[in-house]
Amino acid sequence: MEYLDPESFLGIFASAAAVIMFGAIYVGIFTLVKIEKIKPLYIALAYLAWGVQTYSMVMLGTLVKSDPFTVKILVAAMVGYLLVPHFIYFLVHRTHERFEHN
Amino acid sequence: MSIATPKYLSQSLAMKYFFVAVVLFGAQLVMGLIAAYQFIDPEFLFNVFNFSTARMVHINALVVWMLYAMIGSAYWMLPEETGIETVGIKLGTLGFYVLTLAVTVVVLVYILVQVGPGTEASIWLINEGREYLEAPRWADIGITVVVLIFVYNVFATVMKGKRTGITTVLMADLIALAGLYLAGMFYTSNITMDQFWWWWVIHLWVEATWEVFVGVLIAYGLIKVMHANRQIVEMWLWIEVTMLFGSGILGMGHHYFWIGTPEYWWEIGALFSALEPVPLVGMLVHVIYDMGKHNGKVNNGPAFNWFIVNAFGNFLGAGVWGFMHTLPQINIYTHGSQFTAGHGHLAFYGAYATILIGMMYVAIQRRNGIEEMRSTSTSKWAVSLITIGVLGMTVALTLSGYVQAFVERAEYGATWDGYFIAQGATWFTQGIDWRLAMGVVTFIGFLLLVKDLLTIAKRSKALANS
Ligand code: HEM
Ligand code: HEM
Ligand SMILES: [Fe+2]
Repeated sequence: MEYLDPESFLGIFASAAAVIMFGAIYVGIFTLVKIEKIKPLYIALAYLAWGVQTYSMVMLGTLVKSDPFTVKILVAAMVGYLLVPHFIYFLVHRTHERFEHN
Repeated sequence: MSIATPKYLSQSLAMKYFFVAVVLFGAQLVMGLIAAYQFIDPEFLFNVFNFSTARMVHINALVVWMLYAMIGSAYWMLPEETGIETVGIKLGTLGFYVLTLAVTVVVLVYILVQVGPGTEASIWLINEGREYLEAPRWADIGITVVVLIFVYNVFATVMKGKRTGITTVLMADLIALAGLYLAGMFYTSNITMDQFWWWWVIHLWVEATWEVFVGVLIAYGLIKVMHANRQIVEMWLWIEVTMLFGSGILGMGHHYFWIGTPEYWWEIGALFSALEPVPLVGMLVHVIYDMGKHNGKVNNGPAFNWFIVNAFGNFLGAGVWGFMHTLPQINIYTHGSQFTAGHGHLAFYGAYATILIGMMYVAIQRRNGIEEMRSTSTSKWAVSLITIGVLGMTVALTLSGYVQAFVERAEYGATWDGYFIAQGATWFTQGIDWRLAMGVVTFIGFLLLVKDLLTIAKRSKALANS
């Protein structure tokens, strides 16, 4: 494990916080669109938040001096994170169909 | 549908547990204030009531009041979920008195005797010396017996009554939670091994079994307070359980970086603990989802407010603050610093204190058959002041922790000198001052909370009759 540059501490804490915050903003907006609380157009903002989250993740990975392979894994994980809410709302949708419309 | 339920003995017992929980919460805060003041004036009560003792009582009271409130919540939910009186409730009530007596004796010994010689007798009678779980061994065994009674109550009632997803998860979770306590009970002279097992209790409680318990409370709370659809809520609950256990169990590796355990824990701990915020995001979104679906219509204002603070607090304290220091590359600089204490405060408060207080409001409402319980101005001041206070303490400690990481660890390479230079740095000491100030804010909020819990039922009834 390599030592970090103290100058990058602030960037590290900020990007780590951003990963989680934008992760929540992504699924939060996604949810509001799915339950029709806001216009479908806003889904673009959700994906934008995901983009910022992914960028923060790469930045975090780089600042903590991960090797390039690990950074690739991180991006793959972010693609997974992009898909998870879609899957969950697929399940919610099916549960609704089974229990609310019969 | 009326909100009034028959007077179940199980729910009377729940109220008793809640009552003691609030008393211990108050004791916790007083101890915190003493410890925080000792940071600023180390002479204060020196050799009379030392920092180490105040800190010990602070965090033990924390754990015990939360367990009390959790047990109370379970006794509260059981009859409503299963449709029957709790099986063996007489024994359960006896257990409550035994437990409370034991806790009282333990606290008195902590405060009056404090420490003993390094002998086996001290472990049995005074203090076992494991942070958060310092209860002496006689009390450990007593606690285990009472908890077994409690688990039997839950198990037998769920088996006999109506089965729901909520009670199934509750039952399984409580068995795991109680079983884990045993891992903190045996003594080994090897400090690495001792810490290894100790984390099984601490980490697997707060980052697995307690979080699942919170999932159960959110599910129950959303159904009762917002009339959320049970099928949907329970589906969310199962997803949350899967993700919490999936990430939380091996996430324990983030405590095995520097205690003498093998280095493969670096990768395991980093990977799985980095995933831990995902279910917390899920829990936050779950609440947003149901709020949106039901247009925020609620029958219990204060409980609802506390649930909202829980959703965000859990996410921020455990999710964001947890993630910021969970990678070994970063943790090597922040380990055991005030950063950790900042995270500990916001996480314990956000994830647990909030929802348990919310449950107390739910119980007060339903116990008194109040169809709609609105927030009083006292309820609003209480939740605001406590939340601002804890957030303020967290931010202050985070700044102090940052100084430690930067000066003590990076600049001075974690040396003896570095430690003291960092402790004297202006930003560090100011953080410590602000922590005390914000602690006072928290305490004022707590006093208002107590007042509100004691009076809100009467006020709501008077309002309904006028
Ligand atoms: C509600 C859930 C949580 C609570 C109540 C909580 C509480 C705490 C507390 C009290 C400590 C200090 C333990 C000690 O005395 O040494 C701690 C340490 C730690 N927590 Fe959490 N935590 C929670 C969730 C999380 C999550 C989700 C993560 C990661 C994403 C995390 C990461 C850490 C790490 C890395 C440490 C070790 C800090 C150090 O090295 O000093 N925690 N936690
Ligand atoms: C009046 C408000 C409070 C004050 C003044 C206060 C003060 C303190 C102090 C001085 C410590 C010792 C820190 C150290 O060893 O450096 C501490 C530890 C702790 N407190 Fe508090 N506290 C307060 C409220 C709370 C609340 C509301 C919670 C949680 C719900 C909490 C949870 C904890 C935890 C988990 C620790 C151990 C942290 C660790 O080991 O990293 N405290 N507190
Ligand atoms: Fe942990």
